[in-house]
Amino acid sequence: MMREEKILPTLNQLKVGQAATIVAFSGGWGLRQRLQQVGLHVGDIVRLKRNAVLGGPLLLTVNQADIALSRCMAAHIFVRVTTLS
Amino acid sequence: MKNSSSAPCLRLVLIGQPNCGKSTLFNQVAGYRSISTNFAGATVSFTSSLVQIGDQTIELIDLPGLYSLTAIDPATEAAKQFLLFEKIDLVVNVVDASLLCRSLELTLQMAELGLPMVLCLNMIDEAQRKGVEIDGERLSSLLCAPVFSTIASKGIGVETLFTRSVKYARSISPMHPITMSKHVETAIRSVVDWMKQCGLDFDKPRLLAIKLLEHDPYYLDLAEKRLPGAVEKIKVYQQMLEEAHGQPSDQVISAERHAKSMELFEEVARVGSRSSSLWRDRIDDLLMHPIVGYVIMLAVLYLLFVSVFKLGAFLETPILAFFQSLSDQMALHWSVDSFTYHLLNSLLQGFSGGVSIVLPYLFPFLLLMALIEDIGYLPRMAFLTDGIMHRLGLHGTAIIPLLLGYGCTVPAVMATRIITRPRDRFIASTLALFVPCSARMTLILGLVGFYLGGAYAFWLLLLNIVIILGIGLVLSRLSPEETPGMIMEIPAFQAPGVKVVLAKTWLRIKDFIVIAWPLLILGSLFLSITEWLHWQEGINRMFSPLTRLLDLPEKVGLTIIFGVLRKELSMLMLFQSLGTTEVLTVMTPVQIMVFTVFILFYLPCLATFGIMVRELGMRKTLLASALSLFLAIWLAWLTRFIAPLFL
Repeated sequence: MMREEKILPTLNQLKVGQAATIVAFSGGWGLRQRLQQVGLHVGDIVRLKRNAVLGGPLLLTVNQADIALSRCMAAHIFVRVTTLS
Repeated sequence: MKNSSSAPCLRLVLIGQPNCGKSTLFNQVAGYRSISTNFAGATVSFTSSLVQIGDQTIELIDLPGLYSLTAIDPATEAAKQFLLFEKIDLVVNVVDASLLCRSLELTLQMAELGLPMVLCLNMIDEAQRKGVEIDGERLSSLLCAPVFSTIASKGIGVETLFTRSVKYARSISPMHPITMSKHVETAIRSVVDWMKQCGLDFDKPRLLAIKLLEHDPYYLDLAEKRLPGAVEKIKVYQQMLEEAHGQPSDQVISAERHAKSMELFEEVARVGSRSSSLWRDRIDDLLMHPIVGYVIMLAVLYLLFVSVFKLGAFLETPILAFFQSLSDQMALHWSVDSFTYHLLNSLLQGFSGGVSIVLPYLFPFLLLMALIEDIGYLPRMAFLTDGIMHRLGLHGTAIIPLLLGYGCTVPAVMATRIITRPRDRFIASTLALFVPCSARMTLILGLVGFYLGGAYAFWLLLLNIVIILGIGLVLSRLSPEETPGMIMEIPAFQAPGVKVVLAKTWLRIKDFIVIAWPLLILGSLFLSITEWLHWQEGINRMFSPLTRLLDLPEKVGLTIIFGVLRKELSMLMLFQSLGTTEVLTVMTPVQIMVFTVFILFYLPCLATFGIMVRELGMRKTLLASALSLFLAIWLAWLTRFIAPLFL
């Protein structure tokens, strides 16, 4: 699993419009809690809807909800890209 | 919370995830009697109200929104503790029907509380728009709890929800926990058994077991306190789950809840094609566009402030004129030197000060803010400004109170409520203190601008912004609380509800009337008594060390007190204590600059102080005040030496 994580992209590397499945989180308990509570679980499909400028957050769609997520948090989410666009 | 024992009436608690429309629902029924109360021992507040439902009066409580019974910030911490330990007759679990699947994850946790509960499927119109049809009866039978559908923003279904809830409150049986998959249930049961064996007593053993398995520090601490060594023991059970799944135990349980919610969702919901709500997406495309979005945001802010200030100035003049005429009338009846005149005039001034802040500035501003908030624009604004504000160590939303400060510091401090983290709130309110409010603006324009020239006023304002940014940077470096970065839901736009917007505005104005206004009147009273007793000289002597340090005329000592009580009076008082409006004949340009810088930065006015105590607590208010006093003395002292180079 560790080796796989190294080659997998993280959520912040997605391009706008791309969808991906969450594979794993690399953060600690607190980060996991915050992500899971807003509905980002391993196995969920997320789509990158928008990018804010100036290092601002990402806008994701997951299970029909729109979530703004900072880049540094997104860097802790490993994904497998499911669509190319 | 203090009424919990004395109030025999039914207590209903609204809980739900953020943006589920819980507060909208609350405001639909609560009306003008609602009050916001602080949680015991915390500066986080919740709103409660006595509500007449049929022939019964009930206590309705609106807790802060929470995603889980695992708290991640002080607001959810307070809400969680309320749910765990307070007396509650019925929980109304408000659910955003358009996000039913995720919302059920909280519902499943609520079931563990073992309280009577009803489920309120709110925003069913939004769900329909997304093409989601929910079978309420099926959901009700699966959860063993009554289910109601509402559209809170339009008031639809609200009456039925509350009348039925109240009617059946005493007869609804407590909710039963939902059974999870076998291996998780086994782990939970082993923990519960172990707790029973070693006498770890908690009235919701199953909930505690789950939270211990999830490694929630709050519950671990609770268990350790009741049974030393519990944390070590619980690790064994956590490892059992972790080894079986190759994931951290909290992730296993969270995934389990997620799966269970999905299962329930698929059982009760039919997802069809979404009807055309494309215009919402279009609007969002514009509002969050990397260029257009900022243009629109600036335009919205500009319109907000201009309309508030223009309307304020427009209304303020006749109001002030009216009170001035009253004051003149009084002068005809009583001698200007008499105590009665002083007393009445000061009361009138305090009263009119309140009226001339509330009516023209605070009311329109709070109304427009409530409107913007209700539509759902704030999260979008935060999305846009987060990148910039992050460099200041703050989140995007903090820009609103800062800009507001240019009007009046009181609503600015109140507006920090939209910031959820206490540290950010403290920094934002402290920074808001240094933004020159309209009263201090008068001083800058009327003193520096008038006597030294407009250019100096402009540079002073610019310098003020630079200093505020500097303080922001320093403060956020000083409290380098791990900034977890933004994680925030951007809810769908919704049409504002008139009743809700008015209720919110009223609730906030009430805070001003109850806290800031009396202080304003007291301040006026104190000032007039000082004047009547001719205490000026004593006060001036008291402040002489400060005035000497800053090389100011001793006579301005009194105005420093006035500045704390009523900032807008400091210039007037300066003229009065100097005995002339020809300030340049008694003060040098450098002294004028030093005086202005000092007044600009030092101590918040009494009304602001009161509101800050209410919003942040005494300790933080004193800290912010001390900081501002220190900064004012230091900056004014620097000005004393630097200003001569330019003036």
